[in-house]
Amino acid sequence: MGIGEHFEGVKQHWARNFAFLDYFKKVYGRAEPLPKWSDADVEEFIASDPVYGPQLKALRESRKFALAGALAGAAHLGGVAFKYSKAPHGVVLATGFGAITGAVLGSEVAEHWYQLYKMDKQGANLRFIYWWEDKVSGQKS
Amino acid sequence: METCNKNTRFPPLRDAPFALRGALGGSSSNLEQARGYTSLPLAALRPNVSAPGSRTLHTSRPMAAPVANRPLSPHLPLKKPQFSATFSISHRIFGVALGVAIISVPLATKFSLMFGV
Repeated sequence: MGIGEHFEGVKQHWARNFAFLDYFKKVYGRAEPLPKWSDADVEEFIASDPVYGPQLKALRESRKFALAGALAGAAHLGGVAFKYSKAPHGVVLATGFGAITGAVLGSEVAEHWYQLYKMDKQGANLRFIYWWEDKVSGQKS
Repeated sequence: METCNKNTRFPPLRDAPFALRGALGGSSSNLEQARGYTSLPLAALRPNVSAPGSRTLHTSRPMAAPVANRPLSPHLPLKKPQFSATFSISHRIFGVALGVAIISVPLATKFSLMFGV
């Protein structure tokens, strides 16, 4: 069995595994970027969509957990480094690393708090993108 | 004992390290010392020490003493750049950059979903 035949056999499998990249192509790989939307637009979509609205609302609420975790992690690790380290760049690096770690931890807490693991986060974001695209194109025409 | 007394009388010699005593001090002090060790067994048991409590420790030197305005220890501009040192430094820099690049991919995918819309 040649390598081409083998690839033909597993192509579907790998296409399914990398299907999550399609979201980034749709959101960030647009030929012409969408006009900026505001929080009011997102709120309007959340009120209008009964399925993906609450999911997007929870996803946006989970930012607070990540930001609070980043703040706590930066304060903790940066504080420890500031108290004990004699290297200023070490304090800066420790503060940044604490912020990243705290943000990951906080988003993990939010994942369970809002049960985000049950949701289709990419789908919720994409629904809003499509809704916004339709709205903007409707305004133009 | 005689050398000890001579050293306490002569201030620059009192704190001089042992290796410098021959260079700084009298010409025959080392010889006398050596002769004294061989001839007197008691002197061999008690080597050349000053009176207890009077010896200056290196920690008793004042830390904030004014120092001469001279270049400090790693004289990097004086050294020819070596390949091994350059490879070592660049190895660490590239390693850190690679680690940051690798860890930023899952972080970016995670937080772009959360902060994207």
